Amino acid sequence: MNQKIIFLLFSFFSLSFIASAWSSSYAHPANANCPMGYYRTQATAFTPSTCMPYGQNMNMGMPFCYQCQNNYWGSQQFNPFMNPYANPFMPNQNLPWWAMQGQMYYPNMHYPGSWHNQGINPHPYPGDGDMMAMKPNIYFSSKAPVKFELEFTDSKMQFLATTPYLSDGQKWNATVVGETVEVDQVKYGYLFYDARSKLDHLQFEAGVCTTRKELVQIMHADLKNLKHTKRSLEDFMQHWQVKIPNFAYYCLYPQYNDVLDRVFPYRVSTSASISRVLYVVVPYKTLELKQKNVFPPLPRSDFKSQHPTISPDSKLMIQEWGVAFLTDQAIVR
Amino acid sequence: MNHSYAQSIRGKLSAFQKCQSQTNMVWLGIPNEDYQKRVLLMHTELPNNGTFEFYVKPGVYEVRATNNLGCGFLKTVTVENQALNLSAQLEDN
Repeated sequence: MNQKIIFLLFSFFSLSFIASAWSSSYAHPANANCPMGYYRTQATAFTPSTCMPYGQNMNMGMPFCYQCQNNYWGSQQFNPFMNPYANPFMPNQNLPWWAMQGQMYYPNMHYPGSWHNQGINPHPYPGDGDMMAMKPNIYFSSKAPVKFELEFTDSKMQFLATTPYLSDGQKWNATVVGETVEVDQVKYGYLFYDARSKLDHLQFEAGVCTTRKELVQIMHADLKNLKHTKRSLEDFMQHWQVKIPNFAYYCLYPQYNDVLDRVFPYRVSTSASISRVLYVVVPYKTLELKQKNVFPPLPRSDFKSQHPTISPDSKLMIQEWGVAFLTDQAIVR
Repeated sequence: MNHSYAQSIRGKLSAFQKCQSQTNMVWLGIPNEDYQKRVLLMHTELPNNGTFEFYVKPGVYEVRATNNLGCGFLKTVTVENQALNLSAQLEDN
């Protein structure tokens, strides 16, 4: 009898909790979380609402209303129709702070860049070549402070972005203290570049095909095997759980030092252990390829044998990860 | 820096005191009043006083900066045939 009462009480409170979570997420009072002088408006049922100054309509552009937008997305954390990250049973605690902000401003936030069909739309980007390396991050660690210069040695390298900006000669002059890298008296967690390249030198033989969910986990596990730091692993997971488009399958073609030293070569002015990997990922709707002359071909061998050698006793450890996509025009199915 | 294949938008991020944070994001997009027609090209995370450079074709772009404190910056820029320098200052909104 007591067990029955406990079970009924437990069920009642559980259902009440879930119901209140759902109903509160739909509550959306007019002008909620908007600053004084702003009202809430929404262009269509499928676009996020936003705060607009009174007297201004949606067609006049987005206002500066970052705080109210943050509050709004926060209030929608349980609502799967309004918030793409919503999970009513487990609010997302691990998503990066910028994910919701990005969704507010850009409909292609969940893509690595401008996207068309199954690959990057190359037209808005400068340069040529069908491989876009989006966000290679370079992490550093040392037990004692180390000053060094990292110079990209190909003068024709096609950068798309860097942080911090490069000095003349395509280099960063930096000092590493612990796991922080300092450039021009500013401390960064990592150095970053985006770059474009032709497909020459890339390997499309070793790799694996998998589902999207497992793809991120496979890359994460590979970085773990390469002894990446905790920060590097966390950054990787946070970024790519948001930025890899939602296709059923992906084939993954990792490019390690031997490839990257030819595609995006750089020189470091002091002795260091350098581990580089760029994961080229190609989405597939199905893994049953009907044509014979497809590009890229499905992987034919395991990729782990291609890992670079790591020297854990080196005074400077450099670890780089990135994810690259092909342009839509390069993919032949 | 001069590159034959691209121009660049080179900037430094700063913030008024109550907007200072070590986690900021600078976004480069193609602007449009219609949300569905806006395109995000690239974004980069950087600390206060950090610098960034985007390499672009000549055209019109929007540079946004946001941070985890809810501060923001937005500027629409036109890139022609030379590099553009930008000072992005985060403000409370």
